[in-house]
Amino acid sequence: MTATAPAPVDTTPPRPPTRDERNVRRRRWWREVGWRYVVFAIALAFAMFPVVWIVSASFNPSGGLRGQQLIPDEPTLRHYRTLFEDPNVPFARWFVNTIVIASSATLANTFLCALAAFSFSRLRWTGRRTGLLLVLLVQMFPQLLAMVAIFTMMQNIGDVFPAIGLGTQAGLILIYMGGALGVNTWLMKGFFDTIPRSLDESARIDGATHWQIYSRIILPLAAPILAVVALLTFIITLNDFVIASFMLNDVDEFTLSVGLFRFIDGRFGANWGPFAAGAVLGAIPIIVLWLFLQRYVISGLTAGAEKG
Amino acid sequence: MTITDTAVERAEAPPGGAHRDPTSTGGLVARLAFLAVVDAVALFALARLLDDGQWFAAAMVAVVTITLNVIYLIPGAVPAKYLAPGTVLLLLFVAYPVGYTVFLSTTNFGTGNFLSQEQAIDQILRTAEVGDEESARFDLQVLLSPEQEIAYLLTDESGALFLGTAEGLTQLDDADLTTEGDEVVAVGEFAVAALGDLADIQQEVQDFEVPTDRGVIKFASFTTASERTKSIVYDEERDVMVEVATGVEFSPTGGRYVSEDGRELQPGWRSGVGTENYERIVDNSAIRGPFLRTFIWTFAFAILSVVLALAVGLFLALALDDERLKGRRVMRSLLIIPYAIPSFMSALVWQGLLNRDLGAVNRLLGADIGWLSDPWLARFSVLLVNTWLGFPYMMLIATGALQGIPSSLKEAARVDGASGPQIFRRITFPLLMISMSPLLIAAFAFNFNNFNVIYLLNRGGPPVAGSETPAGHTDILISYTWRLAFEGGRGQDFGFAAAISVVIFLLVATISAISFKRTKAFEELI
Amino acid sequence: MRARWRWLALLLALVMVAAACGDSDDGDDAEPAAETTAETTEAPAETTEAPAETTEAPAETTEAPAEEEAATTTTTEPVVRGAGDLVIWADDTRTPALLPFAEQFGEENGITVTVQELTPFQDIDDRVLVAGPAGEGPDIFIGAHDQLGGLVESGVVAPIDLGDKAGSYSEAALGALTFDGQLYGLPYSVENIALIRNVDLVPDAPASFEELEEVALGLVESGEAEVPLAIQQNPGDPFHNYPLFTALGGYVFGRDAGGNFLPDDLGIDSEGGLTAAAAFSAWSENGLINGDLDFDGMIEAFASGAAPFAITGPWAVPNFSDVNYVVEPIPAVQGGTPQPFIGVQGFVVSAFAENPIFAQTFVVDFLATEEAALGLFEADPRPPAQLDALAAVSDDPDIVGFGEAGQNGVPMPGIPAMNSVWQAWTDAYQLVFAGEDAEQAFTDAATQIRNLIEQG
Repeated sequence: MTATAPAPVDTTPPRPPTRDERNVRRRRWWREVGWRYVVFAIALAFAMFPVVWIVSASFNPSGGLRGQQLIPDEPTLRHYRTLFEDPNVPFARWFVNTIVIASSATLANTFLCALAAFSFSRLRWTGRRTGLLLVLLVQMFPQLLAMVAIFTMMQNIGDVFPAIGLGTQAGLILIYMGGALGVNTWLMKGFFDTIPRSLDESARIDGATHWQIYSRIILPLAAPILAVVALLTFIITLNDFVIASFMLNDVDEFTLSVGLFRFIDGRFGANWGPFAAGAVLGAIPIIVLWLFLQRYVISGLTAGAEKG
Repeated sequence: MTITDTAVERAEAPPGGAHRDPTSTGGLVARLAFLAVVDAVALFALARLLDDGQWFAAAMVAVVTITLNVIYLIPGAVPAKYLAPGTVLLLLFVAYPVGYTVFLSTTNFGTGNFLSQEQAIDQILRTAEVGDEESARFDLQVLLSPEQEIAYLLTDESGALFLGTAEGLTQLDDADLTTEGDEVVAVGEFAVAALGDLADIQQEVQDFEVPTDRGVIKFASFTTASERTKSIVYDEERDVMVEVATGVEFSPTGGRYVSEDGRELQPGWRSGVGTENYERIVDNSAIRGPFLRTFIWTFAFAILSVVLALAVGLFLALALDDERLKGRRVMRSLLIIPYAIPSFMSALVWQGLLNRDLGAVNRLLGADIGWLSDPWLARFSVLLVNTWLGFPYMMLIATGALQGIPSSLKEAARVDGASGPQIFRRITFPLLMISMSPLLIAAFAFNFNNFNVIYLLNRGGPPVAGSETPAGHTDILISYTWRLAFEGGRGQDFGFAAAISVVIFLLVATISAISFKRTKAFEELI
Repeated sequence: MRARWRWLALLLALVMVAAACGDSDDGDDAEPAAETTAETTEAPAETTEAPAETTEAPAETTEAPAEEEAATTTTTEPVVRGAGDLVIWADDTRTPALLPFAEQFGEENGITVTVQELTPFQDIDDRVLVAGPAGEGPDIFIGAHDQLGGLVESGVVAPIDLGDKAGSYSEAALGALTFDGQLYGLPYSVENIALIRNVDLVPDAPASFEELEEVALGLVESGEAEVPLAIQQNPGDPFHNYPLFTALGGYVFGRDAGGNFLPDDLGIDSEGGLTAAAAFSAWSENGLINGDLDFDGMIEAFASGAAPFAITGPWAVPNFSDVNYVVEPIPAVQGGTPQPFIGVQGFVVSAFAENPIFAQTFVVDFLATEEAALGLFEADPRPPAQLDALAAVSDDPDIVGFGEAGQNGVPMPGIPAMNSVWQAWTDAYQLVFAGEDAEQAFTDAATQIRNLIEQG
């Protein structure tokens, strides 16, 4: 497996290219880079196909989702106005609530998850394999009936601590934190495993404690996976409807998904317009967050990987 | 090499400033502060719980608190220090609900058995109070004494006035009444009450009875009362219900009062039924009927969902993983949009798009294709939609995992003359699988029970012709069996549904556990 | 459409099962005493408001406290009981109609009346079932008679005594809400579906369904209409198909002499039922009925004038304001009279009402009047069950049309076995529309239903 011959493709002559060479280069560009744009275009079409209809519904005066024109005859901003001007629809509040709840849950979960992953990756203890397996298996239980138990518990907790009982955002965040150990622990542990042990060894010889090793060495190097886990948690909490809908009962405390659901929960004929408008706006924070976090994911991961 | 006795190491470390060694002072303070808060909260909760007599909850709080204190106070136990917070939450919000479902599966909880036994007794007795044509009717004014004792001022159809108390009826004449204008305001020490005055004694008014020859007079509304006869009475000593007219006794059997000749009183109450719900799963011919077909499709659906989403997601991750690609950050962001929109909405949008007559897909294609009504096309559509929903997740994970593969390996292979596909097959893919296989197994388990997408897109349809109970071509185990639990002749059968959940969980957990043990990821777990 | 959100509602209902169970841990001793006053434990934020203050309708005033209250008045909150001395659960269409009455009753008696909006309508029952025993349920809710049977069997609703006022309600309506000799609700509206005809497209009422078929298909052929008959299916809708099904001799459950439904006598695969199945097959083949048309499509088709006929109920009519239409009975099918399902809705008092005295008084003294029935009608035009009110609105042609169509109707069975019917029957229609053998599909469906009933 040892490399001897220089790779012929890598040498680029410094002199001005001839026409043939330009053709060759263009062909190579297509072979190596250009097709990726094509793939992206196709994927984007697939990804956006239903989304386009959602966006269209958000501008469609009828607020229906069926038999509509892709480009409405008389596009309207009415549904967006509903979101921001109707006093019964405190959309801005819901938006803020959602961001607050999702961010808190994301920070807490990522932190707890990283703690556990450190334990699974760096420490050796009896029951580690079983523990790791159990953490994942228990999350596989069909969720629907489990909600019942959570509701009871929150009711009882609320009797003792009203601040985190039913109807509170704090309680909701707490429930989300229950999911801190799970698939993401595996994801994170897997990444921690790729950080060379030699780093902790030398730190320990220098007298560092386990906490110092964790917080000063592992965590900074694990930034990429922290970012990925944070994004995943953020999306999941942002999109949760079921738990949020039974936990929150004051309109002003609603999250986006609970609040928006009111529009399509009518007896006959859903009012898709404002819902679609809200969903479009609700997707923006996720996209922005991912745009922002990619910096850590890509550069950080590459840096960490070199040491593996 | 393992980290064994870090507490000793810490003790031996030179006592430096807090900024250099947070565990020695700052860390200790932080830990103690954390414990102080935990203990304070726990003590408060304990006091409340003991006060309410909730022994089980109190014991749990005590055990958890003591465990936390031990973990964070004693030296060593390092793994536990890192695991404890997440584990407590996991036990509370994930493990406990599982246990609760298991408990539910051993009860008859469901239509007809929602109440506690005391509630059921109250309700049986209340509905056994009946009126008939001979029952007297009265206009009512509720009276309250200064001690909040209740009495009724009753006017019968002839206009005669009575005072109704717990002792019985007494006829009144005008002299007994205190009036203001035409209004009666008091009868002796009893004052006529306004509706609002009854706010805090509503249960008492509800239960208040004026005995008569035929039965009792009871509240019907704030202005009317009526005579009722009791057709059933309860013998508390022997815990039996007795039908007054016939003397037939009903004794508690399996959560209902049942007579010797098999008549049942409604409602019943929640009670344990042991393994009956599980036996019903085994005995149930309806479940055995389309079971095999559903079982196979459930597997196919779960596996194909993962494979397809992975294929698309991984391919895109690879395609966008090139530094020469301009704007790839924006590209990646745009492609996670399907994941960023609530799935219950997108599933419904897809349903509309795939509608045969009005759907955009057929209109675009100019075709008349039954995407959701043909069995194979419906399966295809479900998979298509689920791939759409799932590929951004796979893309995210794969993007992360790809960066973890040392580029030196790929370089070396390229130098050796390996082609792109070869590098992928021999190096990239196997390495990816090591880090991704646990997630793939988890995704499989998730899709195995992915009730939402199946139900929202097509409600399990199209129907299977001639099956023993209603079943659809895209029904998966959980959607099919839940239907049995909620559409059977018994009404909503939560106990049965819980038993089904437990069985399906055991199934999927076993499959997953076995798969794990076979993955490289687990082998590397030493 | 009806079933679209059922899974979610079911889930929310499930969630409340918890509450019911949680109750057993606490023991019943501590709870009621604490709860009979305002809900200090459940809604701590709300306790500051003065208890005697009446809740305002939304958007009435701009001062801050009123806005807080507005939130509680129309909260769409799925589970937990709201704050108030009297709490009513109603759906989105009836909540606005009920609000003024709730307000008036509250003002007159110095109590807070809260109307909580829960949607969709048919899920309110499920939620009451589990929230009630847990102490999280309403005092009063609006229920449908066909769901009430299960609630009575489970013991979560309380009988009411209308006294002399019973005389001003139709016997059919009272009968639908009566179980084992007890009345479990004040009838509010009596609803059924009917034929809605676009007068501009079809000036004269067809004398028979065969004529309707000919006219409708003719209009489509000539390009004047696109959809011959707007009747919601997608994938199959036993409720909307029932009048046509019964006209040809089919029925769902037989009845004994006393009018009680017999779960053992299933009529889906009776001779008449199979005749009807064959007819649906023919209608699907000649294009009269489109199995892919859903509620939205049905509305769209008729409201835009693309359909000469629709078969639907009073709830859809407000969408048709741009069309010149009449409501009339569906004409005879091969000489047989169509019998739509009749649905009776009523105000039902929970057996676990925290405020039973307020609840019974509000229902029996306050709502059981012509005045209240008319007021509710004006806010939300559903055919009133109160006879004086019905007479008073008899100049409304829609009401008359639906009323005539309902004269041949049969109450939707309220027995638990009805639960087992819907899915199998829907499947059978879907198979028929997909071109499968109609007789086989309905025979299979009947077998499935019998199996389900037996398994229960």
